[in-house]
Formats: sequence, C-alpha cells, structure tokens
Amino acid sequence: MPDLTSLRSLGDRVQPPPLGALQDVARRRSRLSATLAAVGAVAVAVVATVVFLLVPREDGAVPEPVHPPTPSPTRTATDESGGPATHASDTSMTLREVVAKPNADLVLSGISLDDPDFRVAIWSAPCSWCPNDDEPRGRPRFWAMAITTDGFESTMYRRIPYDPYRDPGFTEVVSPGPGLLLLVDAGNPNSPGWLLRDDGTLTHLAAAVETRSGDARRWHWCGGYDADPAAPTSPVGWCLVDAETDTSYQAEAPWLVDELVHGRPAVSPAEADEPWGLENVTDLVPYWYDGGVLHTRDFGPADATGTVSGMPRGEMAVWSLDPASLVLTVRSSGEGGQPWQVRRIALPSAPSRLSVHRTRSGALMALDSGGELALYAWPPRQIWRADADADSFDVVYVESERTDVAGYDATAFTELGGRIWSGGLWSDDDGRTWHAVRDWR
Amino acid sequence: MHGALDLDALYQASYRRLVVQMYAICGDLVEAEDAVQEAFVTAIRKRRQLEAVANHEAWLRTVAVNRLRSGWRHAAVVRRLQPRVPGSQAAVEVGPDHVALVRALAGLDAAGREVVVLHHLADLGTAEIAAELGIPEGTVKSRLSRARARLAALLDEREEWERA
Repeated sequence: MPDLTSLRSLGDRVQPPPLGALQDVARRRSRLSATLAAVGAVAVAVVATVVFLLVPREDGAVPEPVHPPTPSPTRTATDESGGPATHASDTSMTLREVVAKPNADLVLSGISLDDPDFRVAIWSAPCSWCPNDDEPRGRPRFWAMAITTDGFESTMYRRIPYDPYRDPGFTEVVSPGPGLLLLVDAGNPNSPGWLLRDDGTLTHLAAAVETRSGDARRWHWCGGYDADPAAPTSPVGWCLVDAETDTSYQAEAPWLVDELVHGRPAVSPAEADEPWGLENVTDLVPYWYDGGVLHTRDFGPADATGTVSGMPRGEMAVWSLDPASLVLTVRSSGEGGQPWQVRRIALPSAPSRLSVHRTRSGALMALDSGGELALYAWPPRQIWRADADADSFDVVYVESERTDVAGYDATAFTELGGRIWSGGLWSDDDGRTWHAVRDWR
Repeated sequence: MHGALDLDALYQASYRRLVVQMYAICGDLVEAEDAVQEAFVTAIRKRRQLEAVANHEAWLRTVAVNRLRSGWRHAAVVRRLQPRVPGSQAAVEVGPDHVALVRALAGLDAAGREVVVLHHLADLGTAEIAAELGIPEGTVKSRLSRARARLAALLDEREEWERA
C-alpha cells in the first residue's frame, strides 16, 4: 500500500482564511434565513425563490432550500414576465436580462423528442451593472429558465426552482412523452424532479415507492446524496414519472443501486424483465438476474468499462477498453448469460468519457463526451459509428462549437421514430450524419 | 451535550488537515478548500448541533465530504457557481510526488477513494469509517481491499510508464 501520509506535509503550505471571514458569511446567511422563517412555512418556499433571484446578492446571503421536504403537486402560474429588455434595476436582473446577456452561460438544456420546437434552457449571467461590493464573490450572478414551444420564436421565462448557491441543480432533462419535459433533480434526495408542460407550467413531482410498468421513455434516474449530514439519503435507482398524478414512482430492489454489490442497473423495468449491469469493481464483471437469482461473470481486469444501451430485450452487452491499443471489446449475451460473444473494434482516439449504444439496425455508436475535460475545454464532444460488421469506428461528428449542455448524467443516445438524439444533436440516417440544435434562447 | 466548543481552536487544529484529506479525495485544492470552508460555515450556523457531537472534526469532515460528493455528481453545474467562501488564499505549490499520488487516487472510484483517504490519511478504523459514511463495516472493508489493490496497481503502472 502506498504511503499517503506524505500528503500531510501539504497542509503546512495551506493558508486558512481568517475565521472571521467565514463567520461573516455564516452570519449573512443566517440573517436572511431568519427573515424568511418569520414569513411562514408555505410562504418561505415562494419568497425564498423571489428574494434569491430578484434581490441583489451583494450581501452574499443564501436562502434556505426552496424545496418543501414532502412536496405536493402545485402548478405555478403560466406567465412569469421576463421584464423589460433594458435593465429595470441598478442592483438586479430580470429573467429576460439574464437569458439575453451576451456572456450568459448555458447551464443546462433539454429538448422534446416528440416536438423539437419545445425546449427548455437554464441560463446564468453575472450582473455587470450591479454593485461589486461583495469582494470574495465578485458581482452577483442570476439564473433564469427560458422555455419555448416554437424553437425560440417566442420565449416564456421562469425562475429556477432551486437555490443555485446551495443545491446542485438539475442533472438532466428527460423527454418522457408528448408535451412534457422532466427536469431531473437527482442531487436533492427530497425532490424527484419537476415536470414542465408545453403550456409553461412547472410542477414539483411527489415521490412514491412502487415498481410500475410503463413506456421506457418515462423512466429516469433519481435519488442521491444531500449536503446536509443530518438529512436521510434516499436510495438511487430507476424512477417512473406519471404525468397523470404528477408523481415519480421509484422502483424497488433490484432496480436500485446496490452499494454492496453492483452499480447502476443498465436497463429500466420497461426494457427488461430483470435488471442487468456491471458490478462496481475494477474487473469487468457483468451481473444479471435470472428468476430472481443473481449471476455474475468475471472477465478479468479492465481499465475502463461500461454497458451498451439500446440492446434488444433479452440481450445484454458490456464493453471494456484497452487504453494502450485503443481497442474496444464488446461482450454480448442473450438471456442466461450463455454464451458470450466477443467483438473487438478499434477506436479513432483515446476517449475521456465514453458511452456506447447499439442502434436498431445493429450499428454501434460511441459518444466521447469529454468527461471532466468538458468542464474546462469546449468543444470536446465526438461521435463515432461502426456498422454491425465493422472492425473500427469512424468519426461521424466532431463538435466545432458548444451547442448545448445536456447534463452531467444525461443519457448518451435516445432513439425515437427513426431519429437518434444525443443531447441537442440528432441523426436521421442511423447515426451517419449529425445536426445540432443551436437556438437555446 | 459535550461541553463548550472552542471554534477558533478547532479551526486552527483541523482546517489544514481536512483540506489535505479533501484534496486527496477530489484532486483539486481549490475545491478542497471550498468544501472545508463550507463545512466551517455550516458549523458556525449549526453550532449547537456541532457541540452535541463527540468528534467535531468528524462532523466537519462528513459535511465536507458530502459537499464534494454532490460536486462530483453535478460537477458541470456546480463549477459554474460563484464561490461563496473566500476560497484558496494563496497558490499552493504541489510537488510531483503529491501530484502522482493524487492522480493515482483519482483512478479509484469515488467510494473507494473515500475509504482509502479516511483510513490511511485520517487514520480512522473501519468501524469509524462505517459510522462516518453511514455504511456497513463489511462494505468499508471490501471497498478498502479493492481500492488498495487498485491504487497499488495504478502507482506501479505509473512508475513503469515513467521508467519507459
């Protein structure tokens, strides 16, 4: 075992800021929380959102979470004006100003696979005209949602329903069916997500535990950690959104992540009778259930591994990558895990974060989404394709500019009606050529 | 209740130690400092809760680790946020040996990295780690075993690569 204790000497070189600076931050946060607490429990959720997004952040204060712990479905008003095009306040920004600001950052975007003109984008921008008197943080920053049903010919503006200084925010946008976009809130264990309808209403989903059947597109990933050590951590697993009841139903074991044994099941209850996936170990170890009994197969050490999405029902496939030879090995099997077929395909370059998908024609698509690199160096995204009998991937898309932000946990490829989607990119010819959605405001 | 808390003494005693531990977990010194500073801000705001626990540093570490975890899960969003705390006070020069070690740690999965750091850097026993992370001790042991083997292999590979 290597000696980690040598790292301790680094501590001598770290200079802590004065404790008073942290006490000051804590005081300012508590002050706003106390003000909000006096308003009343229900009003707090509403006021916190308004105060946070519209009051200048020069005091550095951060409101308490806007999510009620056990939400009941509520719809917000359909009209939340973006305000005037020129800034209405010297100390704040309207939602429209945030979205329109030339240096605004696109935080997350999502598109309806049923109607690509229905889109949502979350933007964040620094307020350049606001007072810069909060030295450690610089000028205050604001967030806004831009929603359209006509490809941004017209726009509806909304406040984001979370505290961006405290909550991690939405992890991806799922298109669960016509007229709906699901904003997955996997960072908040008390919030399975928000449902955005094409009339602009935003509904906080209630949570329930029950394994249901349903369309594969309605399944998403939910649950996660909380930054508050006192709060319970919800399980992580597949969830089904039900727009009729505004509820997210979380499936029960074995459709959840099993901390002790394996990671994320690769298929939802809509895609398989029983889950399969990869064990959370350094070897390539696929697992599958057969008649409720867990089976595994150890293919030995592997540097990078993953599951293949899009497999036909009753089949499973996993991949491993040899970084030295840049050869991707795909192992696939029918039900019961016997026999395993092996296919080796050369990659065009070393990926940072790889996702592999089988199209309905049997071609393999691979997305190199850039991984951590994507946070610092755009554009990193590449898409590769290999025909069913090919022995190497061809590069079919190299991102030349940043066009969308699909989300850290977003599904790499989704197919609907002969079209393949990857974030805001789409292909109508089985992944051979790709086009980008460019308008997000 | 475990008696009055000398926050200043706790800050002086624990800050650097926690930053190093968080750095070993996340591989980013600025992120590590942010997480530790956020933990102290939480401690100041929840002083009574902190006073009620026996091990103040463990409580702070739990808050900091959880903050890092949410950062991993949502890094793309989190990294766009403005810093809420003073941040790193001065650029700290990290030597090549330390960089190599932290890079090797980054090759572990997050769960394995946490238990290795808590065991080998924070000197916690498996039962203490289980309590801090809220997982069974058997899980800690199996994660530790796998992570150690993987870490040793990663460092061997690196040495071979550097010799080649």
